[in-house]
Amino acid sequence: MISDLNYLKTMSEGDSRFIREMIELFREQIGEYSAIMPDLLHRKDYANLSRLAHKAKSSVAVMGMNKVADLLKELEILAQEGKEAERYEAMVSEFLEQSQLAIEELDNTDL
Amino acid sequence: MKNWTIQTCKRRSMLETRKIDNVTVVRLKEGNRLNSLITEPVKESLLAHFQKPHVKLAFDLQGITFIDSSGFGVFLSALKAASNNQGSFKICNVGAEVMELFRLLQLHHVFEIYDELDACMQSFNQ
Repeated sequence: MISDLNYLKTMSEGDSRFIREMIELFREQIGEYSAIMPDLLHRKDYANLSRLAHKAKSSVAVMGMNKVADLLKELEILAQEGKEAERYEAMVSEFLEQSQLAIEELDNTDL
Repeated sequence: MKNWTIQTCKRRSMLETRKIDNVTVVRLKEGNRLNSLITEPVKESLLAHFQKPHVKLAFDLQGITFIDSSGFGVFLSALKAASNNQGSFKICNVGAEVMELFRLLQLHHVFEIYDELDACMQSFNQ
């Protein structure tokens, strides 16, 4: 399992309607990140890439995707300082791929 | 400053509404908790505003000390309704306890939240 809804279930006391809304929000956010992040990479806009990684970290953390959250935290810090830029593309790809897999997983999760 | 007026609709509204310039400002008519006991009528009133396009709306949370998941669900619905109809939905006057709840759910990144109504109003004009 890539995702883990235990946190959301605990926070919402098992409110499945709310959890579905959060999953829908996550889907929309990933759509936005998929559109924006490659462009930031292409333009070497690492400051904004760092800011977006910070925001995305919150999105994945709430879905229990802790490994991806760690990856985004690393990207946030590296991009903030412009270090190891050759790794960013692979990190963004990993984040987006894992998120798409998580969405499929969440769509098939019984709440 | 214009006075608050009580919104009328078929069901008894839980919201008070006022208009400041071109921005609709709403707040709970009574109580300090936005929870499942009242979220359905609140949602109904709130979403009714976004049936028109380009609506700018601020939800004033002054005095609110607790929001449960159904309350946050109402805000997510309002945000979506606003987005679908070229409108804006913002939140202001969030107390410390409620802000902590926004943070715990990572929703502080999702909504535009302002400490005060004035700052929120200014943001609509930027």
